[in-house]
Formats: sequence, C-alpha cells, structure tokens
Amino acid sequence: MYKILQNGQVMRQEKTDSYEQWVPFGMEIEIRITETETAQIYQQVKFSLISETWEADLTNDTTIVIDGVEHILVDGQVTIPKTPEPELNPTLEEMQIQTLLNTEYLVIMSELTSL
Amino acid sequence: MGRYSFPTVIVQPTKPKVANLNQGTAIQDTWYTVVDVTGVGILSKVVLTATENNYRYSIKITIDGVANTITDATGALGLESLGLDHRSDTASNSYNPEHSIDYVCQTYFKTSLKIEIANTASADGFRASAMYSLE
Repeated sequence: MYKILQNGQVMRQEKTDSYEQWVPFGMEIEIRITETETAQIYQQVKFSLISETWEADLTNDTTIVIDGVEHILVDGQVTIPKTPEPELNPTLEEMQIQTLLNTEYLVIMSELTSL
Repeated sequence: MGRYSFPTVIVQPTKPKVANLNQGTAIQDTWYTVVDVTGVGILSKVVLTATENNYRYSIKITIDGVANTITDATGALGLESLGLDHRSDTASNSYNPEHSIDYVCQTYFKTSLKIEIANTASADGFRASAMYSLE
C-alpha cells in the first residue's frame, strides 16, 4: 500500500502483526531521463495510487531547468538534442611531444633501413 | 527478608531495519520523512549525508508522540549537537562521507517512531538513513 504526503513524498507501507511502517519510495512527480544516440529525453512522470507505479504525466506548461536553461514541457516531455563535442586543438606542449615522437620514429627507421 | 521483583522487559526488538531517503532536491524548511513506524522497537542511529555547498539541517525524531528536534543552524553539523561529525577540511560539492553525520540515539519506543529531516539553508538535496529494530 502507498500514500502520498503533503510534501509530495510517496511512502510505501509494510505491515505485520506487530508493526506498521512507512518508508520513502520516491516523489509523486519525478523527471525520468532516457538517452538515445542523438538526444536526451526528459519525461515527467506522476505516481498513481491506483496502478501503484509512475505513469507518464502529459501536463503541459511545466517548466524545468536543464543546465541552467528553462524548458517548457510539451505533453510532459522535452527532448534535448546532443551536440557533438568539438575537437580541441592540441596545446603547444602536445605539439612539441608529437614532434619529438616523430623525430624519434624517423631516426629509428633510418637506422633500420641502413642495416 | 525483602522480596525482589525484576523489571519486566517490555521492549525486545528482533527485526533489524534500515530506512533510506535519497532526496535529490529538497524544498527549504520542508520536512521529509525518513521513516514512520507504529510499533515497539529501538532506534539505534540516524545518518545524514549532505554536500559541502549545504549542510544545515534540522532532524526531528518523534518517539511515542513526543518530538525532539535537533537544529544545526550554524552548519557545524554535529559538533554543536548530538552527532558525530565525519567532516574534514576537504572541499567537495558532491555527497561525501566527510559531510555526513551520525546521530547515535539508542532510544526505545513503545508505540511509535517518526524521523523527519528539513533542509534549513537552501534547496540542495541530502541523503539520510535510519537504523532501528522492531519487535
């Protein structure tokens, strides 16, 4: 058995002959994140005391903040496309290391070919 | 010669329990329930884990209908109350044992136990556990 407190907590009951306890089970309204190759989908779900599980909440106009940006849910969800990470230019130190490695490689190759 | 009668043991908990609350976002000054029991038992410990950003909380332990509230308004965690502070000077913005506190209670309850926690500083989250045994 479950109940929802005024603060939105979902509590689950465990009852025996000698005691009854209610322990936290989650929040009535939660945001579930699913990830695809190209996007992250934020879906608002709401706990149902009838089905005793969370169901998709199709409420519109709810605002959620993702990475500091406000998004308005449409049919209870918002899709955030993934942006590919930009390739970083090598630092001066990395370029110097690569030059040294290239030089070392050429020296070894010339020694091998002269044998 | 006088006759002695030994006190009757009225609380003999045999079922160890743990209740956990992982409150990712907490509304400031709102009580969140860690456990709510009707029965007989003993409360052993309450553990609260916070972050470096926010570690100011109130813990309300209601035993047999009587509430005891421990408020840590200074952010000193347990240093000024009943708790054992795990914190060091290591800075971190994530949940960390160093920002957790153990309230060792070892208190019997004859009819009911309720433990609630409120964040008194901001809307940051927290994690809490209660260890207890029931008859």
